[in-house]
Amino acid sequence: MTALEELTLLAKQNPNPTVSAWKNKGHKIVGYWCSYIPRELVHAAGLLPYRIKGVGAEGTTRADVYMAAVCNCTYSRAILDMALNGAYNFLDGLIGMNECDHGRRAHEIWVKKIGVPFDHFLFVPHKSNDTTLREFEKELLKLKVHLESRFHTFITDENLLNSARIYNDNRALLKSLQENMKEKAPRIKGSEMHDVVIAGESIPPEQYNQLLRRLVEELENRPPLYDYRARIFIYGWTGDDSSFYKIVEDVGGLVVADNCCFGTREFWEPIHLDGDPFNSLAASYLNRPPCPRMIDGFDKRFQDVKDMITEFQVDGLLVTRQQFCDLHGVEAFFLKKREKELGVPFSAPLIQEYVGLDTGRLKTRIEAFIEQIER
Amino acid sequence: MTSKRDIIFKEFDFSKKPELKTDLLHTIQYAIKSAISQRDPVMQWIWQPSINAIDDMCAAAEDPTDVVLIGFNLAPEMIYAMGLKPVCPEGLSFLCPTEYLIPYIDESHKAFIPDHLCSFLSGSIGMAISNAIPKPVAIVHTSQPCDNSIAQSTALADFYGVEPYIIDSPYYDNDEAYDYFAVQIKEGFRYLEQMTGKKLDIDRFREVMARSQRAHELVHEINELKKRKPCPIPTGAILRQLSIGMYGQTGSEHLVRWLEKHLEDARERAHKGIGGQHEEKIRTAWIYAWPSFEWTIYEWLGKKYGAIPVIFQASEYFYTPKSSGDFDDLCRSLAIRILSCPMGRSSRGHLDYFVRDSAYWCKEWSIDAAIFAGHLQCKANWSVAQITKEVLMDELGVPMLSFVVDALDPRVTSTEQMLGYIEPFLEMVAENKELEKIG
Repeated sequence: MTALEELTLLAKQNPNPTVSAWKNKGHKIVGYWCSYIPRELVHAAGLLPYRIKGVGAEGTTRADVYMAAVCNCTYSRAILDMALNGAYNFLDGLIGMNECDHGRRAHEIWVKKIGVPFDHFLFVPHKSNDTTLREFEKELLKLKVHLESRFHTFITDENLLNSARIYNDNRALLKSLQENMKEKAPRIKGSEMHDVVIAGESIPPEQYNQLLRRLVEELENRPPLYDYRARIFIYGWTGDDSSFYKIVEDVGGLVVADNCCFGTREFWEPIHLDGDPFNSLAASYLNRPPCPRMIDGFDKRFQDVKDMITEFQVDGLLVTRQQFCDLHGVEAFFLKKREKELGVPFSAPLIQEYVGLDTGRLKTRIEAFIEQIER
Repeated sequence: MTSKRDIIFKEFDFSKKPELKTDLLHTIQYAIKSAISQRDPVMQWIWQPSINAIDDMCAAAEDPTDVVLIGFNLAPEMIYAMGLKPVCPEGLSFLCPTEYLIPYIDESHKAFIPDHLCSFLSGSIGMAISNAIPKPVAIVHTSQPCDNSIAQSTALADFYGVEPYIIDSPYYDNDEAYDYFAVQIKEGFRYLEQMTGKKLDIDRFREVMARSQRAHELVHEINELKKRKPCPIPTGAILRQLSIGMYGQTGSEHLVRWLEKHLEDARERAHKGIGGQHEEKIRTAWIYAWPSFEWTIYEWLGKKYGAIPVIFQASEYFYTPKSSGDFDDLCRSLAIRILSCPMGRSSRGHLDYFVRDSAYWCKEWSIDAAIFAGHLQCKANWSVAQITKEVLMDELGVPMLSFVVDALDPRVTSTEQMLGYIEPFLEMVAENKELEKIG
């Protein structure tokens, strides 16, 4: 199996095979909800950080009893449904946070209705300045102490630095793969890259580094992709499912860049652990490429997008989000005001449901957009 | 439409394209005063908080150099302390008559504001982009109670090109959380000084906080009286007016005067052993939203079922700010007061706040029936409804009705549809009460 095939398979399995391998060694696994929860800290405790995903969800029936289908997103409901059905019983702990109203409530309901062996709620500030940084540093120290006491371990500075180095290697390798897409004829598709990122969220980072290194080598022997109608940037939320990317590719688009969770925001910037490790860990996470949950994040996000549009020779932006996501929802309002500054056309928001994606509607709208911008 | 009931509900005709009002503030002012003038003169004082709110906003618009936009979950004390004029855009959505508000909601959607954003907020954004709200000199907001609030405050700031100051609300309710918020209040004062060129007058801050404390003390006294049977309030509508005052006017003299009048009236009724205009048979708690496009419905429920609103989430305040008068202490007291305000408290933090507060009200105020009118766009609260229902029934035997509404927009759930949910529920509650009597 090639590295790409292995990674693609890992992205589509939940739990993936590394879970049983890890458990068989007598190690513990802690789930985490959001990319603002520092995986380094969990890893430094000798635990496997496992990103909670909706991969494998078959519906939302049980979750719908507790979360309203009229206004709560299908992603959080799908995850809660899986939890209520026992799909996450392999976890030894769970870390929730205030990523958004949907996610935090799904976490609270999960813990309240079925419980978890270890529950920690990490408060993550919604903006970045000296005050919020101090608060977040305290929150991370609380998480450290809680992990240490529950799992009978010590998170030393040395362990933390080591974990940061390993995850930064992940990020650097992913960035090098993404940069391949700057080429006129890249050797990896956006949907493939998306799967590669998803896979890395829930496997040991050491194993991930090995797979990524193999993938970098494999790419050199892959045929370049010349046959496409337009170079597409995906802006918004596509979650842990590559279907949206595949729809774009099915109608001739080539996704070359994105500003998404489970996308470049995950790995574009390394974390810097210098000086006090907890202070710098907190700073790195608060200042990472910002998700729309961050109150003060739009300007940086917009600059990142503009830079990438130039670097990746983007023809147009597809703006997308989960139905009922207010934080991503207001982004199109901001973009509309900056239409000229953006420099390329962008689509009206394309709304997705996580379970039961209406492929036909999206395909029609994406194809129409590509017709307008194709080279 | 006239129903088969002997009461007339409002008619809304959305088939015509409604117009955006050129002078929205004064249009609202006129509509409010006209509506109140048609009420029984003896009862007109009840709606004074609405009049105060719109009068203050109209006055602010006349000289917008001192206007500060604030979120409804940010207490106005900060703005009063600076000698500035608070304007709460979502408060304006609430005060705006339905037929005037709808086009502003729709206008926001045209500008790519999502249709699942809270209509209080999308309505206010629609007003802003239609130039119906004066451009502010500063914007102070909080991240509570929900994501909608973050989206709205950043959208307004972006539209006006005004750097906002948005206080990051903590998840928890503890000393550390209060300190975190208090530090940001201090930073907020510095922000206001920079944006407006005015200096904080500490003596004025003390006076404002003293009035805020007095207002909270009065609310507590009123709430204690509400435990009496029958509930000694003239009409359920007064609960909504109390929420308008407490959200938007704490720290003002006129709110204190109105609450004193409210308390005096409640005391007198309690002394006489009387309630409002209808005989009390079922004590209801509106533990979440209260649809406000048709107030006649509550009169009808009182008349037909004796269903009296005793609790309304947005008018229930737990914490009374008390301070030594020292600046740090004033800020901390204000922090706790903001974090404890309705919705802020129950929506930003763990779901247990909503659940336990609801159970507390139902128990302490001897509630017979709880009603969760779930505002369509309220993600944080809709995901608490089922657990609350289970707890109220399991622990207290209090049944809870939940249904979808948009508290401002009758296109989602009409008055008739609401009655379709509420009437059978109240009939069931009444039957059960009868059965209990029989034993």
